[in-house]
Amino acid sequence: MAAEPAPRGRPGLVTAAAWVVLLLGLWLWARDLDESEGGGAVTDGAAAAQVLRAGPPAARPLPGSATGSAAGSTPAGVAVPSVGIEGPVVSRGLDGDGAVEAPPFGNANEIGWYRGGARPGAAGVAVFVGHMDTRAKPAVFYRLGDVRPGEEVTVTRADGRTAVFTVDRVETVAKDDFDAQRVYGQHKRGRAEIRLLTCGGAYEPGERSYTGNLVVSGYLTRTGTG
Amino acid sequence: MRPARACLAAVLLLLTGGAAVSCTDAHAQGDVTVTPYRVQRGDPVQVSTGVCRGDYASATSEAFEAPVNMRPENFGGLTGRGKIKWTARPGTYPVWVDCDGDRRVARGQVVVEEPHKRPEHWKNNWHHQPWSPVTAGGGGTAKQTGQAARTEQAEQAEQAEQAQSATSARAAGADGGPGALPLTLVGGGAAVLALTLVRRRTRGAAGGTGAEAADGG
Repeated sequence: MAAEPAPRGRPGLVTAAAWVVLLLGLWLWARDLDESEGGGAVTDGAAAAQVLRAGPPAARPLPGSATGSAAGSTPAGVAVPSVGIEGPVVSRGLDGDGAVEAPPFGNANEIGWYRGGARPGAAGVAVFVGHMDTRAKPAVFYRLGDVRPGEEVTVTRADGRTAVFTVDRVETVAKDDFDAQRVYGQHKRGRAEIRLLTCGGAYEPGERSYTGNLVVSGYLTRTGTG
Repeated sequence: MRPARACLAAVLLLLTGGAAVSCTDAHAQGDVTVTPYRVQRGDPVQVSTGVCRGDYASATSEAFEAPVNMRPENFGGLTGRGKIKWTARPGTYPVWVDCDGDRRVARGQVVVEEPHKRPEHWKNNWHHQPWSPVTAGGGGTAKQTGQAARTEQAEQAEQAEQAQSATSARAAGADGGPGALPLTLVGGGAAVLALTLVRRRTRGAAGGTGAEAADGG
């Protein structure tokens, strides 16, 4: 009968298509696993990290890396235009626990710069701390978590120069599993880097604090005199 | 064993922003490492050792405000944080470690400097790299859909991903997390293959009639 070849041909076609779909699925799956494993290795200890894979080349650090020299190189303002963050900078030290002191809640629009670290734009790590919120309302770094790798942070210095950093990492680090070197240390030797820190994770009313820190890392990609 | 542990302790200190001690330096200096090595009165310090076998040790020094309790750290040694007392005069102070009851098992030292020397030595500012998370929130926005909610979401990313994979087809359609689409494809492909296999078997067993009936559906 003429009907006989058809049943044979169609299942064959269906089987082939099914194999193709199956293999395609497996390939996609394997690729996904690869990606998530790669990310996992880097983010060990962190809740989540977004990393910039191929960013613009690092700019040469500005002179005056040592703290205490070149009075004009202290920061005056920090801005992250992509999320509307902008605030004046105040100089801060360490608190008794070895953390950079945040500005007082009364001045929650201010951003603290750690004077024991590098000057922004100079080789080393310039560390900034701002409140995410006060007990009542959002504060200067409320939208820091919206910053994405590739976006820019601009620091205006007292001497009028600007240092522009490209964000290459955004992550939440648990306070219980805090890797100080990754948060405060230099990620690549010789670069001028920046860290913006605020609170992250969940809020624990009993402790009156958040369970982690949100850390935005960047490196110098441009400087200006504007 | 001891050199290896001292080595690990030195590596940890480097990682936590400590002194630039190489493994051999740490061993040569003694079995106790104080970071930073040069301090001023009132400074916080970190004390580490790799010589104790137990889970507890305490470090004492005339320069310390109080004995430093040391607990196991990831690297396998013991570490603790303390403070240089405000009345400490400049000089070199021995630091003794008592391992879980055994007195003065290990020795190290710490140098207290004149306060006015600070600016010079802050030029090597890695000595003073912070080591603790910041406290920078009052919780006022915690219940809103602010950053707290989003980071919480990030913490549960894995769970969410799994859940998304489970609701295969729909999740794959709605731009879904990674894993949803591949799972759907693998599942669908396998199902169709299994179906054709079953059909062939039934056709093989029951002859042409079974195949025609299956073809209809």
